[in-house]
Amino acid sequence: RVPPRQSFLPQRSTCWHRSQTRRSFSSANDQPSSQWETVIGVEVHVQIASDSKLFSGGKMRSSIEMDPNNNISLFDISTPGTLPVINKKAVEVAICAGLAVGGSVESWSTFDRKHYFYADLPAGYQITQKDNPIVKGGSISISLPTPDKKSFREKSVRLVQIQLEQDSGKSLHEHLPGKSLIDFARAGSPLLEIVSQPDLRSADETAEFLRKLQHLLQHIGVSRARMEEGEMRCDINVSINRPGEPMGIRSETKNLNSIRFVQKAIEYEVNRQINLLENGGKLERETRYFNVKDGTTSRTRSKEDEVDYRFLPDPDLPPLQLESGWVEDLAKKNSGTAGCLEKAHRSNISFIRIRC
Amino acid sequence: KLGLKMRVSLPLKNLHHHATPHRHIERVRESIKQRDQTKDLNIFITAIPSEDLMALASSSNERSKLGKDRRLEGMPVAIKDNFCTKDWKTSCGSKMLNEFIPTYDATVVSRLKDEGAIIIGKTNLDEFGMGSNSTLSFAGPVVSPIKGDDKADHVAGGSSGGSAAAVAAGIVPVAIGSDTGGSVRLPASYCGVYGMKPSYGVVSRYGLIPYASSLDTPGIFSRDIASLESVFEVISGHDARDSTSVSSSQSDDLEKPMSKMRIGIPKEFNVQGISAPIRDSWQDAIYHFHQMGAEIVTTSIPQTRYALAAYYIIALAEASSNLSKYDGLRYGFRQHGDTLKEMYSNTRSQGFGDEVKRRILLGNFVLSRKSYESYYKKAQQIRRLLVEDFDRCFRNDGIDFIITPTATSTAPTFDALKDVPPSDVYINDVFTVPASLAGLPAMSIPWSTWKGLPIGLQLMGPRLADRKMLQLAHLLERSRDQIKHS
Repeated sequence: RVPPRQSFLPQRSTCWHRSQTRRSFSSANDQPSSQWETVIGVEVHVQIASDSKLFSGGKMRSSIEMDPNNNISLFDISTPGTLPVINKKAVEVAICAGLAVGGSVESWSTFDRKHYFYADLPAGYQITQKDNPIVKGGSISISLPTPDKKSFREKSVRLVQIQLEQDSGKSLHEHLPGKSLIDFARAGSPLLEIVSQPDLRSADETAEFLRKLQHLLQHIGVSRARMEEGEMRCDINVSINRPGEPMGIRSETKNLNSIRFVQKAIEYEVNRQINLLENGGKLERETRYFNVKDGTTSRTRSKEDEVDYRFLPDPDLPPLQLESGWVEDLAKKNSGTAGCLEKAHRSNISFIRIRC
Repeated sequence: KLGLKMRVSLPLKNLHHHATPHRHIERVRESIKQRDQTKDLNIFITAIPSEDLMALASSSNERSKLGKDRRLEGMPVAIKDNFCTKDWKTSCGSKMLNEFIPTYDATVVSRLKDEGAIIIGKTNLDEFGMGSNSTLSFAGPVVSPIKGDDKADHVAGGSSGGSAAAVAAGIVPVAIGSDTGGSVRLPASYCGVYGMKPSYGVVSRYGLIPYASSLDTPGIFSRDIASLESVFEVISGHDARDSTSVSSSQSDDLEKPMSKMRIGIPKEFNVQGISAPIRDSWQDAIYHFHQMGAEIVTTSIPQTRYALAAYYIIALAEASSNLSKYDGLRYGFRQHGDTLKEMYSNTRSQGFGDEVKRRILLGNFVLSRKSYESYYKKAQQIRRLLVEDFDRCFRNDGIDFIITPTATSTAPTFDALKDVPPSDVYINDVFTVPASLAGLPAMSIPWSTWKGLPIGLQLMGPRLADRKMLQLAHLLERSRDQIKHS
């Protein structure tokens, strides 16, 4: 039986923009300054291990293969007149991921076009699922050692949704002076975007969440989710607030491709925001990127420069309706996954504890 | 009452099934000759070379000799230049794609070729399908072969003006166009030929370079119903490469005799601005159906009054999205810039004509965050209500078909168009957009003329009643031929 719709859960935007209440959980473990609480949400993009692209029969190739722009399907470079046809395997993978996190697999979901202009986005838009994703809700539970390192505390991190979307091509800016090279080998590859609620409270929790997610994805065969290979990347949303007060203004740091970088970026952001506020400054909604060299983050866009993506339900794709019974069959095949996963992950944790 | 006057320069009666073998070579030769003689009408953007055509005609010959005729063996056809044809330029009437040579055939094209049709050229059109007169092409305007009593140059209608003109001028018996808001039916009306828009999804859009994806429908022009039906049978049917392609078969035949037919006249179409000749033609048609024994019923499609606005909002929004891919990077026209942004804006400013740019800007506006709710979302809601209106009319009220005028006037002269502001041109689509929004089968039937200029009658049927509609048109054709010869 497919789990019931968790329709009482606020949408992501409600949580961030309109909610005046703060979720209270067990007290944070290792805040740098006890006057401030950190709130973190993550958006994780995971490459799906599949033979074909999400909307074409184009063959998938490893991102590290150096065979640029060879053997690309007409649709994936947006040849005029070509049309998207969904890849059933990718849908199956999304369903399995949804079942594994205990989310609600939606029997009816739709695709949207998200428009912006960039050289590695051949159509001038990405096909994604904004309004009606294939999976809603779900959660991932994480275990963290207690401060005395003698036992664990459990925490459930809720998810907003899991959606299917296209990956873009790849831009290489360092190979030729003054020029950028574009490789479309990756364009149109299937991605899962996993969006969490802002339930994380520290860099450690976030790291643990990402590791747990990686294991889960590897275990159910969605993806190998190796961040360093670009198979999984992460955007973090960080805000700070004084205890008892509403959530603060968040910043978004995009495209982090290692768990260590995620931790550093969070730490840097928290300190930056604390310093700014404690010195009487004001925070702005902004988009930032992480500087690998020195562990800092820098702004790319401010709220005024925010891109208007002009979302449009994709008229080339009718709503995705899952055959009744298909989800049930997959649920039967994958039952017991979650339990095995807990055991495997727990033993990993104890191993790490020993190392610490 | 107006009599029917049709100018047919090339009587092609024995078309395909039982044409004698050497007929193929003759037919193609005639086609080429007629194509050459009408060069000044600017019907073709690309004329396939004679040698290639004669070679194809010869192999059709050979097949016929062996009794291996395919369904459209040796039939010369013309294709609107927004359908991809492998190895032949497909320009969409735009500078942006003036050097674009596809490496694949559109489904419509390959299905025609597989049945032995011979493509003799790619026809001129309004740029990217955006226009109602075929005057907005990078390749220059199309001139209608119909001169009218004033002997002046008239527009062929748009956006599939080249295909309509190719049939009207007797160059080909059948031509393919595309209909988004009336782009097959309107030029058919102006040029005095049949122009059919199938139900949305019945003919694959794979390879049709899109203007508005939820509205674009490949369509067919012809001078007689039999040819139209043959081509429809060949090109229609599910295509796995088009996710919006319909899989339900529509094998229902028209079982009702005329005496049991209920023909609907929607009162909202009876607008103030209809000129006398158009109104007379409509009346004449109503009378004709009545004479044939049908019951004439007044019906109501209340959302009609919002249909034009809803159509333009949806079409322009989808157009702005579909045309985002034209940046000069991977194919097509490219204008240099020092930065990526510059290259994009130089390429798009220079590569697109004014009307296309106008529509992209409007489309961007209606999709912008602030406007989405009040424009695009509202327009889609109106669309759904319109579908419900038609449902009520066809199902609840038991209407079999609706008849209305196709166009608000006969084909204007080029001079008359000079002072018309671009947005005023949009009003020409008022009778045709409802069927586009609701995805219904609709066609324009050449009904009468006024001062030598054709006036079309529009038939609209319930969704997926394409075959029935063609059969009705066949009945009409026969009954009118009888009247003519009696």
